[in-house]
Amino acid sequence: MSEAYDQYQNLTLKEKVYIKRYPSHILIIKETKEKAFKQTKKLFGFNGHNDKSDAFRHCYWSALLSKEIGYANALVFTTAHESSPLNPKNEKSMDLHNNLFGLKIGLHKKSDSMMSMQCIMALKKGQLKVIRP
Amino acid sequence: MHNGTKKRTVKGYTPMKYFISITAILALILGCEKTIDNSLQEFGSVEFNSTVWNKSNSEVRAKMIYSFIKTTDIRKLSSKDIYSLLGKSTAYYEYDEFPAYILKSDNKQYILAFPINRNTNKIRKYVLKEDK
Repeated sequence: MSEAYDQYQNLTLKEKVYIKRYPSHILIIKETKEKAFKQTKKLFGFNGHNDKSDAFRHCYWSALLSKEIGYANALVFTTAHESSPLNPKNEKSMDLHNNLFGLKIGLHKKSDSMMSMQCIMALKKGQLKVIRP
Repeated sequence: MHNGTKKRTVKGYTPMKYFISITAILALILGCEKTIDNSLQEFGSVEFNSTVWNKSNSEVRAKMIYSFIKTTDIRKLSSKDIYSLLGKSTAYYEYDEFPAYILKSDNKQYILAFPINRNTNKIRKYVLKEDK
């Protein structure tokens, strides 16, 4: 099975609707996601779940997306990403909160390293949500 | 158009070229899957035990995962079944609802994940990815 097909299988219904409407965003979404994963690994040593690294990754990925495809589109996509009915409510709430924070950071279109720093600052100030401290 | 030319498809593919392409793709697919299985075996072959797994760190878990994958028909399991066997996710892979675990072996870190079929809520497959 090709990687692209496999990735498509993973998407939520709302994500599929989004990429059908904006196919040119697929590559940007993929690249920003990989960038966020790498930066999280660099800063935290791993990509965790419901912890600080998770909060940072959501913030930073959303900031990158907001910068690249615009706030409104990034808001639609990042919300679609969390839209599976199987996504636990408390985790969805955490992710949407952290996404929104990142989306706002991305509005100012600063450098990637500056946006990463802003997400870290937000985390340190307790402005990002974390389930597992 | 001559008959000889007609045998070629619109894109210029002869049946032989189709055969070679499909064989190459299949070899690639099967080759990739084998590599993953081999990677798991290289982690070790300690017998999987859910109780021990849940008390163990990511290095010990890595040694058990080959046994788990070999002895469990993961496609019959739901994400809840995976959580009851392997505990809460310790890593993140694509979506919160995909069970994912950090494994460590030979000073390398990996993410083992179980993407689900959203329609059936059953595991589609496992994914092993180096976390670098």
